[in-house]
Amino acid sequence: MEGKQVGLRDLFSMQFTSPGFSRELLKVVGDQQPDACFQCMKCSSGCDALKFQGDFRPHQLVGLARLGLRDRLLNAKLIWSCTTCSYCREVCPQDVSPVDVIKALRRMAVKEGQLLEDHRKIAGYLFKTGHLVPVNEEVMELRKKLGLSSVPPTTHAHPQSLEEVKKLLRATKFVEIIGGGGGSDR
Amino acid sequence: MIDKRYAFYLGCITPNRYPGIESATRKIFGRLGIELVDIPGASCCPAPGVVGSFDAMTWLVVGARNITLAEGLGLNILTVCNGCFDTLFEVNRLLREDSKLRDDVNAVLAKVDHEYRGTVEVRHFSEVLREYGIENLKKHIKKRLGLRVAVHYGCHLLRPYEKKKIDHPMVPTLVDELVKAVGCESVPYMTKMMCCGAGGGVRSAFLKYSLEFTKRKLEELKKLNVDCLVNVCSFCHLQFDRGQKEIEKLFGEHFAIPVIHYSQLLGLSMGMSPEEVGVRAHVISCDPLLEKLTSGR
Ligand code: SF4
Ligand code: SF4
Repeated sequence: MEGKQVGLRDLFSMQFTSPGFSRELLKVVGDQQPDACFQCMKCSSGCDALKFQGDFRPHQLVGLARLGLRDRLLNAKLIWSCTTCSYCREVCPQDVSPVDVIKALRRMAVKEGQLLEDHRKIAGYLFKTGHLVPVNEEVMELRKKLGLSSVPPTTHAHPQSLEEVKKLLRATKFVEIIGGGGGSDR
Repeated sequence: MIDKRYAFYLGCITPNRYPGIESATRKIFGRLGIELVDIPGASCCPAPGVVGSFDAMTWLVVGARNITLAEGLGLNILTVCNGCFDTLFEVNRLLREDSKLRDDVNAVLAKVDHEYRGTVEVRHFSEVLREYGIENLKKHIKKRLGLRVAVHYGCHLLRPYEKKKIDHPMVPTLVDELVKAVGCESVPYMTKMMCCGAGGGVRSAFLKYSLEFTKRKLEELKKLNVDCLVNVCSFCHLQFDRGQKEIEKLFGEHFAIPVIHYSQLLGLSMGMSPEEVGVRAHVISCDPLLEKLTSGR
């Protein structure tokens, strides 16, 4: 994390939780329990993301979330360094599920308009085609060679179904979240 | 109990990038006498770490729509990608456990005349094969492959254990058993349970960083001199296969380790041709391994 580090001692001070922020976090779907964290660092000790991106520490994100340091958290590009491997969830003795905390933080950031450009792009494909990864000419040829239908029997072959998906994405305001129905063809 | 028919959920990467996995899966289950039925109009699952990180309601309703399509067919769902499995399994679980959430989701689904009822199960093909029985599976095997393989489980097949209860989340044996069934040796390695690096929207946002994970694993496998990496997830498969070419470009390291999805490996051992299971279309050539198979070493 850029700038000041939050020291171990600060994070250990269990009394400084931010109930409001925690409640906000808990409203989001998942099994996150940030308030139960006692900063044992077991999650960080086996996190592969931390090996390649030393600034990224799940126990620290959970600690910051408990303290309600909203701006520090949501401005951090770090929240997108997690591969969601869920190792941390598996080992946490307190059932905190740091990965779910991180996903909840991401949703908050997205809600505030902080979506990475590459993510905006693939989200656009979902709206336009029903697939985050749509088919292309080359794969259609390969499908034929394999004896499959050149277009798979998904939203790609069923325009009606694509309309359904679009309707749902409008209803959940996903289209607004991603900033219109973007997504160039590839 | 194992079903006679499953709704075959394709997702995105399988049909749109590695259709060989789709064709191999259709064929192996056909041989086992299990019918895979298409789910017309299914969409992206949607990806747990990507769409699930953007907006919870979107993730839930699009996932629930896919499940309702299988409910319409009256069939349990079969997946060949850990990402699809994770989303559909988790959405199914959350909506079963939380009636308020289910009502919220159904209120949105009503706009497109669907209703989630919670009547089907979501299964990963590897656990269905285990249920079919290793001994029964062996009866369909024409050729013991005799390869030294590195098994890569991928994270979302097993975790969270508390909910999925498929196999041990840190020291699993399921896929190792399956590769042994086709006469391969599963080589133990340190980074076995390490993530491929692709998940959580990391691959699309930070490609080079995501490939650090992949590279770390491949470096170990190169030293171990394995014949190939075997996976059970189309997204991990893509990360290792395409990823090797990207690693060459971004890091200048060369591995040439063939990457095979278990459906393809099983297909080959059932006597299918490399063309039928699509391994010749991979980015990293599978020729060294295929030569080994024909020379019958
Ligand atoms: S393992 Fe759990 S309790 Fe320990 S630091 Fe991580 S989140 Fe907190
Ligand atoms: S889920 Fe994210 S934070 Fe947790 S161990 Fe994996 S990469 Fe680290």
